[in-house]
Amino acid sequence: MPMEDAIARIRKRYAEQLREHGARLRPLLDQLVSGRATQDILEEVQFRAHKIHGTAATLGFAELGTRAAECEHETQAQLAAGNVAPAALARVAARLELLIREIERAERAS
Amino acid sequence: MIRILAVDDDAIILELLREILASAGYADIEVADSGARALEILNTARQPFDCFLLDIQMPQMDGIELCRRIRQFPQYARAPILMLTAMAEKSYIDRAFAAGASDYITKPFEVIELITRLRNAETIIEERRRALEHQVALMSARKESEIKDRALLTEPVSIPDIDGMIEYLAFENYLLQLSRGRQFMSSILAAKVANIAEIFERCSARSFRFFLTDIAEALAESMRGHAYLMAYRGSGLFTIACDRRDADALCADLKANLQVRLDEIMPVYDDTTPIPVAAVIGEPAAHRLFRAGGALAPLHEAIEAVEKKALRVVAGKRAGAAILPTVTGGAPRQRELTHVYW
Repeated sequence: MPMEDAIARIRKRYAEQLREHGARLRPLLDQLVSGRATQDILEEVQFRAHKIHGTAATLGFAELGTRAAECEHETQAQLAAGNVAPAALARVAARLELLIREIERAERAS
Repeated sequence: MIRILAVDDDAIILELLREILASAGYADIEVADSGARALEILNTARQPFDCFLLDIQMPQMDGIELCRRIRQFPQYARAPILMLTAMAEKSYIDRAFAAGASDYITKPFEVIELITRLRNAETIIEERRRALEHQVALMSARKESEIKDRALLTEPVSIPDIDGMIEYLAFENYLLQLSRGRQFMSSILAAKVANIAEIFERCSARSFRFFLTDIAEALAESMRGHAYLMAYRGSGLFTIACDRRDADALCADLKANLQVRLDEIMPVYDDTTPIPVAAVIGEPAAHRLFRAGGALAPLHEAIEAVEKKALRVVAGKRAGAAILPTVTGGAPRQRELTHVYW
């Protein structure tokens, strides 16, 4: 099978994975916005953003990769500082919102 | 054809690797979705692997720990291990190389870059295979202790079980990786055994290896308490990378301690007579803005400086006088066979 066909097939499967990431991240965004998020929630956000960051650009979703990296780094910074204050959560929420929007765009494109 | 084990907890990455590698002619690839599964595969593999691709951030056992465990298998002590990871921070790069990684590729990766790095790894594997065959051919004719290839003097040698010691190629890859992330926070310094050629002439291959290990151990002991990576480049030359902010303190400790450590270790020839050592310590070199020469410029600068000093030491010894500062003061030394210059 030519490489392009294989990548196209993987992109399709990746879109399914993105749907799952999106479904898991939306409730986390709600919790961040409400200011009730815990360290566990930040870790979950960071983990999923990290996964997307590692794969998106290689599969042709450069913008998604950038948004995921920004979200990952912001979350990582707050986790490193042990910061779950409302202002810190709001910064993570802003990045996460952009990431979710980009996930939806990538889903529509694939 | 090389046999590859790829380990990542992301099924998409594993699938992608399979396709990319197969398209580049690397069809013999096995995958594992966790460190534990990878170790299981290694313990039961009928055919050994030639090369590893490891993700870092995985649940339970991370890729750095897995790298350390893989290095504990004698057959994989020198196998290329490429870290394939989204963790671009210097602390991860430092830890990965200290654990035995040979190279480091950051995700998202370009297909062409991955293939290029794999081709480099394949070249190393082939060179080692040829060198081993050459060694085996020689051994069939003579006893191992009699075999002394000149490459042992001039080429990088792997020195295991010394704190912070990595292979020279991995050392260069480490510096290249830091420069890719524009993380120029490292300083490089070099140390050299100035009279290495004389020592090589009088040693068997076995005792020469022991001697190199002794020197590496003396250097490592002298730098105890500092974070560093060190490699042996060949021709008596050791290269050391450390945090730029710690470079002066590390260098000062090296100058203060190396003489004592060498005296304690007291390397010997095959006939147990002590080896006279003239060791030279260079000054730290770091990246400077707008300097040409690329990521390895400070390394080349450090090497050139220490080589020049070593030449002066050798010339001075021939003329019967030390022309560089050396260790002075302190308690009278038991033996005057080792000298450290800077």
